[in-house]
Amino acid sequence: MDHFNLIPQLARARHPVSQISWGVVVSGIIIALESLLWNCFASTPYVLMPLGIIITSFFGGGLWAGFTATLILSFYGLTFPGPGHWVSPLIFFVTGVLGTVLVDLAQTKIRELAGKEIRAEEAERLKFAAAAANIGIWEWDILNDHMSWDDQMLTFYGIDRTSFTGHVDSWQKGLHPEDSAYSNQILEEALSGKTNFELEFRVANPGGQIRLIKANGYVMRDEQGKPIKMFGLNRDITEERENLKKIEELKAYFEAALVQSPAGVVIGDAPTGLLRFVNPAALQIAGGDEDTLVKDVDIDRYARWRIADIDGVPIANEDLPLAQAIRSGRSTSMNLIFIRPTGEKRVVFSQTAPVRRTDGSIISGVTVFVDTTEQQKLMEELNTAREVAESAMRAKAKFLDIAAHELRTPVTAASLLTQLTQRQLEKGAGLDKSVLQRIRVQLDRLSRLVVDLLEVSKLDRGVLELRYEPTDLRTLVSDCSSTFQIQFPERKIIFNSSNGAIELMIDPIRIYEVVSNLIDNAIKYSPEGSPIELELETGPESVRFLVRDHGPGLTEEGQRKLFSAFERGTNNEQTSGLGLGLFICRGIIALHDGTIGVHSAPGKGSTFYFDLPKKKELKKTGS
Amino acid sequence: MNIHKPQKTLLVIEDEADILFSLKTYLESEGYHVVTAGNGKEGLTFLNMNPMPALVLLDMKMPVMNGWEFSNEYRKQFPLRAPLVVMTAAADAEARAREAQANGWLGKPFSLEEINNQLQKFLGTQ
Repeated sequence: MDHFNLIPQLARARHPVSQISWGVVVSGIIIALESLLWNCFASTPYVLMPLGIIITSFFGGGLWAGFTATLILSFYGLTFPGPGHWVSPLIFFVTGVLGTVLVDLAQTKIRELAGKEIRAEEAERLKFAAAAANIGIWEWDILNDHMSWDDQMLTFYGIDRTSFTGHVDSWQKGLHPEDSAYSNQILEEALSGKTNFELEFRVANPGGQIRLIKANGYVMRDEQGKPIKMFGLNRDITEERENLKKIEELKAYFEAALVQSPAGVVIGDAPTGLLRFVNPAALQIAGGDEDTLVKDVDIDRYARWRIADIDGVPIANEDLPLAQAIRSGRSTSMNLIFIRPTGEKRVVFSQTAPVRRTDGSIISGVTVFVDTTEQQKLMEELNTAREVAESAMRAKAKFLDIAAHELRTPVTAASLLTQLTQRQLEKGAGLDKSVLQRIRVQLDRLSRLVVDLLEVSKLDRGVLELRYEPTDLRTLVSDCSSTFQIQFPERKIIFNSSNGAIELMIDPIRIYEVVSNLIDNAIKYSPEGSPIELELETGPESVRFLVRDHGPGLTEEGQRKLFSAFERGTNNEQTSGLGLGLFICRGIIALHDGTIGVHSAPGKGSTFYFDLPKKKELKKTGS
Repeated sequence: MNIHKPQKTLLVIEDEADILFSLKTYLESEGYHVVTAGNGKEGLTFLNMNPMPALVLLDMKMPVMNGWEFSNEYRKQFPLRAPLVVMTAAADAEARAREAQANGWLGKPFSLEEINNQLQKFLGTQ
């Protein structure tokens, strides 16, 4: 059976059946009492009949009971012998009816008077509460299908008093079609006593507006448990629910952002610091999993994260930024080191702050950190690169300064000497040959400097060309050594030239330049009495030439700078020249696919060497 | 040249032998008494042991004690001192001269006339 029709049927059922039965029973007892008394006093019925009816009415409480009893007794009176057959029934009837009506009226009046005062007070109270809570109140007399709504209810359902039917269908019509069946089912279940009347449904009011209503109702029942009345309230929860939805959406956005964030995010609740949220990035940076780093981790267990300060000193649990934020409300931003289980160290930049309620009390602490390890490495590399570049710039500037000085000095000397000669000639004095010699020396010096600069320029631009020839390196070194020996007869230059020839495809002029440069340096930078030793070593792949001196030797820093352009060893400040010799040597050897180097230590003398590959021998046969 | 007039002494501090030779030859021919020093230290030694010369010609880049070091000591040790003229091969000669707090400067290479101009500026005609 369709539940829609069930409700009006229930409403139509008549309830005072039990009261009628009561009336009949009590009337019966009185009538029996009267017939007994009738035999004793002839006049008794006239007094007792209306009295009995009045009493009956009180007991039964209903008009119908009175009328029924009166009717029966009137017919009963007809059977009585007495003064006229029709008088006594008439009196019975009239007095019975009158009495019954009067008693009923009195009862109603008393009830009304008593209830009015209470109801008025309750209504006021209810109205106030309802308005404050934005709720509507309804009451439904199920038996008569009489529905009463307050003004708030009408507002919820978007109707006015005139279009309110006053029946349960006013509610049913207001329901959103999709929620109708469900809502009626809940009502039915509530009426049958299966559940409480408590539900949420949408109301589609005539204005097209949809509101979400939360309804609660109480079912009143008669002695048999049949529902007779319902009352309850409606609450408009549209905005509340929308706000809740917005909060939930917001929460979802934040959570998504935090989970996706490449920055690590850790949230711990006050006051224990128990971790309530740790995003994947945080776990990834720390190199741990949820079980070790998050589960049941409070301040006392923060050490599981293995955090140290930037100097690598481990930080105690209670001194960690998050613990400080939670316990003392301190905000911090600092660099930290995370030590991963593998021992790998990650440098992070962290920012931590407490989260407070409006009253200032701390709810939790939040720490956000980014892994800056790579960045720092990059920065260090950049700094190094910048330093190298800057140092090269400085070296170049310094070189230009030196070059200017070195070029201007011979020019100045030659110029002054020339001017002097000019003056002498003008004065008629003879030409001083020694001055001319001085001029020539200065111009030679200038010329050497210019040649060096040009060679460096060519090497720098990669345009220095070699002229390969099959050359015996041993003869080359021997020739060079002899030349120096003639120039510096007081120095002991030792070279054993008696071994076999070492044939290589090289540019003999350039290699001679290198050998000469190395011997010249050895002579310049070693004490006068000390010997200079030259050697040639033949290996399977290459040939090595060495020049050993017994000079002051070089520091590592000095060795490093030695072969760079524009840099000079530290101990030759007082030597003029551009310091390009070894740079040019390195360039020439590199063009021969060889290497040049030095073995030295302060106080131990220096051994300069170069290696030339033997493969150039092949070219000899080919060319 | 007035032989009755006492000669003015010039101190020339320069490490480059040919330049020193040229300056000495020229300045002596101009009637000055020229004392030479191969570096700043030698210059200071001379100043400490002799009366203050009329003028000091100073090279900047020298071994042992360079022009800047000499200039500092010179100002420190001699409150009553002769004008200082620096000779420098640096790119910005004037700036170098200011650094050394010199009274005058000669940028290398310079001519004999330029030396003369500096001497006249500080000593008047000999």
